[in-house]
Amino acid sequence: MKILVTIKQVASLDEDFELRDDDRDVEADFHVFDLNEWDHYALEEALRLKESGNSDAIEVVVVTVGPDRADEELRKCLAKGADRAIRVWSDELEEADPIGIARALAALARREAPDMIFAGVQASDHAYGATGMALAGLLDWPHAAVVAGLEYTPGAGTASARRELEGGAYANVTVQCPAVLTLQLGINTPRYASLRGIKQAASRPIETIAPDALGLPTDETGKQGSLSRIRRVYVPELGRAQMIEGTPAEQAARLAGIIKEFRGEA
Amino acid sequence: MTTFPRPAEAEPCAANAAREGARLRRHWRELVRLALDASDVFTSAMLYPHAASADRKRLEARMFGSRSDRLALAAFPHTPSVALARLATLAATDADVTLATRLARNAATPAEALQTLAAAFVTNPESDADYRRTVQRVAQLIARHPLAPPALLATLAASADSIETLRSLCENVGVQTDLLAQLAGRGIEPLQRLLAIHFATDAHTLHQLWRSTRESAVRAQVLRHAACPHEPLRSIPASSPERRSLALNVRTTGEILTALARDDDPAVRRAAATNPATPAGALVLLCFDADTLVRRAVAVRDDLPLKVVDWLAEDGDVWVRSGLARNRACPRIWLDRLARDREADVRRSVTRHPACPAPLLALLASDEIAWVRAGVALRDELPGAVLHRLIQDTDIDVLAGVARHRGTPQATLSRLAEHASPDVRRAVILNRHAHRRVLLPLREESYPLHRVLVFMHPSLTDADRWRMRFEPDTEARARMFGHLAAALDRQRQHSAPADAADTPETCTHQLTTSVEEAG
Amino acid sequence: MSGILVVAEHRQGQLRPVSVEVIGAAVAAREAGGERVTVAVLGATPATFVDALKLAGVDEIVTVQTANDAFDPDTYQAVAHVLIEARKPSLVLLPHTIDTLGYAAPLAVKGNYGFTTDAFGLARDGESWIATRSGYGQKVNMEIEFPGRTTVVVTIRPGAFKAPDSAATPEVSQFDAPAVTPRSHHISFEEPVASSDVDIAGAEFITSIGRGIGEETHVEQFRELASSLGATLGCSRPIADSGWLPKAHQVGQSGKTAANCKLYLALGISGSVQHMAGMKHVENIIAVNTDPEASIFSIAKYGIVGDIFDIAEELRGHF
Repeated sequence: MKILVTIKQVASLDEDFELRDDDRDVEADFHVFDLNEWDHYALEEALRLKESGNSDAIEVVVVTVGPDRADEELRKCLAKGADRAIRVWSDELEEADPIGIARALAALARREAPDMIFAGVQASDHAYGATGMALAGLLDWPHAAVVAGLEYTPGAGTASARRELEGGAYANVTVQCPAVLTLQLGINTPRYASLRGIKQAASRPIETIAPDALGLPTDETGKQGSLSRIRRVYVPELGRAQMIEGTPAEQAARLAGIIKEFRGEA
Repeated sequence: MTTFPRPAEAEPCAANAAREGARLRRHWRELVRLALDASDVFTSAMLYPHAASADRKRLEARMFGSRSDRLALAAFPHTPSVALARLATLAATDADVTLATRLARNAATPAEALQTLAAAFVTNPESDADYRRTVQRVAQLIARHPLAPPALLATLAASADSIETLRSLCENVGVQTDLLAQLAGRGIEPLQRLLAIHFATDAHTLHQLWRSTRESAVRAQVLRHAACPHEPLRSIPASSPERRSLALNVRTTGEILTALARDDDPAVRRAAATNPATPAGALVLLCFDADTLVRRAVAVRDDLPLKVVDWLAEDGDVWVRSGLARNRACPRIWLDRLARDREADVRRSVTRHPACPAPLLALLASDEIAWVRAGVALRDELPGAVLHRLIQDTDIDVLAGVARHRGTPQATLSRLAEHASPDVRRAVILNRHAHRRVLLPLREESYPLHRVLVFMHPSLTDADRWRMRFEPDTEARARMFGHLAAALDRQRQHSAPADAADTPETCTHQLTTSVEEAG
Repeated sequence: MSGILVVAEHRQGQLRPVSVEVIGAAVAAREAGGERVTVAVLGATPATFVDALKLAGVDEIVTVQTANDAFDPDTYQAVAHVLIEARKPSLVLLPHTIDTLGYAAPLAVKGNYGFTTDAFGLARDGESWIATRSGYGQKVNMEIEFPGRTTVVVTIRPGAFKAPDSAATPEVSQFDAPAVTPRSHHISFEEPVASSDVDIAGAEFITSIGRGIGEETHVEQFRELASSLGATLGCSRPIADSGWLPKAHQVGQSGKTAANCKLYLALGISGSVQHMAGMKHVENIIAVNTDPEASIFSIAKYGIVGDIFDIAEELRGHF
């Protein structure tokens, strides 16, 4: 049995950054990279199923679409116990939007033929929340998004999922399997990689493969496989924290207003 | 009396010293190699202050080679001052205003680097609007920087063209009295309240501020100030914020404080309740105040007369009783009662009383609520029987207290070092009395922070720390390399004279296991 | 000008307020082009929602009868797709919600429509649509275009647009749903359980304290404050390590992740990497700290540079 977990190396920005000359992104020098927070949970769910003691061995395969530097995130997953890691890349994918990325992942998924696919609900950088479910659409697999609780017996024909709704309520659903699920923060408590795991992962092989080697046609790769394009990036007036000024009494009054507004909605 | 080593002894001493010197040099070379091979530049930066010329050049090439590395170093919280100073020079040479901004923001950037940045960017006016805005930001960050020297701050004050920079100056604790007086003299309204807050503002300036405004917020700050002149403190002002400030000032007369203790505004009465100068008679009144927040403020005063304690001990509000229970003014007889209070928070507070007697500790160590028992475990001194009882507990908060306790036997610490809860294991690591034997297995902890804390523990030897040099986490490794390099320096100094009996010291003076440092 | 299509969202018999916001977005977007705004609503008894959708600017309401009222992604995707192919709108607007996270991307992929999510701005550039959304955790804005796509699907950020403030009388018609065999089924709803135990992971509103509180004796007033605000109390690691609060309150890498938190008030917390790991994803972070350059401000939505005791005392008076 095989579970495919798709991960992303996300970029965050420290204070004081610059935009690229073409204004379509932030200057590369200012990117700080890390593994997407949601992916820790997705991987943990797969590892738990792997360790759940069923008779058939479960293979956990992690895959990402990204350049060389994304290997670091795959190694973090290997260190935690993933069995295999794959990176899909070609320079054309630089211009891919989430749908373009999903097309590359779909090509890989067709090759791997997993029994379940887990992804995070969204990525902490741009938070499109699209890639996982776009992958489901491309494969035409059953799917569910924002899964906060999962009951699944590996190999079973259905899974029970608890979807987290707005306002803290839940919807319980059943999903036919194989399925693509996007998992939400808090579905489990992700483990930390052991020191030994980290050291061993440093020398494990990572398969790198280009999309065309997976049979993805050029007209579905990168920009051509995308359904959107970033035209311009700019820093909004109130980009950083909005500082509340005034005397403590005035500041607290504003703060109280914000809290009450929140409580009114919640 | 001078003695000379006999020829037969001199040779082994010199040979040992030579071997030791060679070992230290070998270790240093390995650190440099590991740093240069690492995928990040932070490790190299940590070695930089300890490097001599050839190594220094190699480290510099690695650290400053790319712009993204320079920017990363400028934002890294542990980058050493000398590296930040070099970066400031590079920023000036390259006219890299973004790098300058990060450096100005970094609290560790030293004074001379700030001078360099100010000279390169702030004092050169530029016409482009965007650039000017960025430069103003640099000026503002320097204006608030804790290490900016007074002369530089005065220059910034003279040339400041934005209100944000002026405000930052008013909030900078390094700004001196005369500059504050000068700024007050400019009569810029948004600055007045900040000037009234600044601890270095003198009475003369405060008086001027008080007289020059009707803004109750500004006057209230003057009234709270330790250097507030006498005149404003002599009468009761109209506005509530001002009366509140007056009620907070320890130099306010007892007569006025007594009047303020009867004020309509509970916030004013609450302030009077916290003031050490408030007369005992007024306290008696305040302990019956209808507003619970006022009574809570009374309950935590350690100068409470006994009869006030009596009244408050039966207060219906749990936070009043709780505040009283941990108050050193609360006598034994009341502690006995409060130790049996129906609210767990009150009983917990009893465990935190500075003089909580042993019988009560024994009682509360068996409380049904874990948080109460954990309060007992937190005490520095415990009777053996009580500690022994707590060791049998299963609650994580109790065990964490036990794990950190100086009286806990090493065998128990070893057991707790294998506990499933990372909080309990971390408490063992934070226990200054834990022996090396207990700590060594914890070097394999999954949390990088725990590995750093183990590394820093005084019970580990320099050799133990040396063996942790292959740390995979970037920030943890950077911190460790900083310590390893400093340790090599110290050992080099010690091995230079022929003291063959020298054994590797534990680096106690630089390391601390306090939670402050470990942050 | 082929029109703007909105697909409404409802749950447990109630039209969700975000639906009328999206209608407001549609009405605002069409101002320049004069397109027809059509609102579609699906369900077992879709007629029950029609009155609430009769808003100024809506030209037509289309009801689609499906097997169930409860959401399933296959049904919404199939119906939306057939509607789009029948009407060929240039713009399709959905709310950005938990439900649309389940079907919007598959819908776009199936029809090869232009697609982006969580937009708070819509504009025209000639014949084309431009959507504006956030990037890098809300540090930048991004303008998104859809070259060569005649139909564009955009999910709209809740709270970004206002609902129309008056009623209208649009046409109401029915549309035949295509045959769908859903591959997921709704079983039940579950309300959140109110727990008296500290549950950082489940809490929507957390007020956290850090080293700024100074001494153990100050913890109580912040516990009381959190309680009066209706917030769960959290803390940074040094507070928990010192034993000032139970470990269950600790937020951060070696503590709990505030997984469900929507509002996080950080008092006297500087924002170590360790702590931020547990809460940086929270959408609304408010930080109070005496240090204006504290790292926490770089991830906060609102900041107050000030003394937490002053602020706490003032704040207490409002609750």
